[in-house]
Amino acid sequence: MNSKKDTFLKMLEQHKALIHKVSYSYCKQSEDRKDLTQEIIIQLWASFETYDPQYQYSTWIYRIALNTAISYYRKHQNRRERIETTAPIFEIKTTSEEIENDNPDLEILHSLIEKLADIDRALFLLYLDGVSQNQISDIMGISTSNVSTKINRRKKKLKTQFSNLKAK
Amino acid sequence: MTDKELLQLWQSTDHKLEKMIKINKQIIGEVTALKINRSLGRMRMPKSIFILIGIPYTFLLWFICMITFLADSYIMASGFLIISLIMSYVVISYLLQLYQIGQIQSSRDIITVQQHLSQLRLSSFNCLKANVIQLPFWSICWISMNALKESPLIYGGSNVLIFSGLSYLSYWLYTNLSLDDPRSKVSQFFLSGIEWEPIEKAIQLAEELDEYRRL
Repeated sequence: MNSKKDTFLKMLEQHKALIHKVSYSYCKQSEDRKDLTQEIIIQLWASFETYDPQYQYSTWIYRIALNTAISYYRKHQNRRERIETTAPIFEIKTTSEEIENDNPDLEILHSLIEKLADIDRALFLLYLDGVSQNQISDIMGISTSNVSTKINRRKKKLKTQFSNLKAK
Repeated sequence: MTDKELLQLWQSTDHKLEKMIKINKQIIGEVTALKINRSLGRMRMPKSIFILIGIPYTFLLWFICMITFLADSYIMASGFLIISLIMSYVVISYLLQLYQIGQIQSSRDIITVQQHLSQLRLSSFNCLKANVIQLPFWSICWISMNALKESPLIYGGSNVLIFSGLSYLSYWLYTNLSLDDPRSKVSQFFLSGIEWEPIEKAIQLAEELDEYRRL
């Protein structure tokens, strides 16, 4: 049991940044992000027994983390909309607080990613992280050609939006 | 914006995240060290008080031992001798424990901290066992030779009974007190309170920190 726990913790530590990125991309509020991160870790532990070594740890973690994040995002969508419409003054700009972002371009990029629908966000996140299209296809359970089409479409749109926002 | 620029922009998040994770690790280390120090700091006062009282008390015991020996009350003297020896050991151990607490609080290296904590724990446990050993000897400290001569059966017999009873109690406590079995009722009774809980807490924190740093 200790050896399994140790292996899991070591794997978690090595891929901590990946989990943070997924949480960060799906939750604006820091409390939600903490909840989501915890939920991802719980799901990873629950699935650890059935981990298939033919896949890399990163692929496996991405799959579980993104599925968890998408479920979480959908579940809290309604709640978030209510909070956003009734109490916009409580929105916290966590970008600068949490990762000391002094790059306005990065902030624009994050804000554009936040506006993406849940599945598109997952695809684009994987693309930005340099995951290959074959791996993305494995993780998301869609065909490679579908992955390529969606990413290219999203990339084109995002670049246009980025340029427009930057021009402002 | 080219694809390369987009990817590079995203990768700058990685660098920030790595930096944040490193800082987090550092902060966790420092906070845990503070918690260990605070936990052990609680032990300083009771140990210092024990030493303040213990030193004159031990001198008094030696003094009584000497007096009874000079008065030819050898049974009393032997009782006080053993108790004085045990108390001297305990007082010196407490002085060393205070020194060890200081060493732990000033140390930055987790391995050194863990070693000192282990030694502190063992020393505290040995003091406890030593105190248990002195139990039966308190029953012979008051034996009067004259009374023994006058009433060997009743006086002597009752003192033998008391000595045997306390010896058995001492032996039972000595054998049942164990660091390896903290759930036993004896261990729970004796290995608790201000003398023990801070050490156990500090050891647990040090283990967690060591495990985290090894990852």
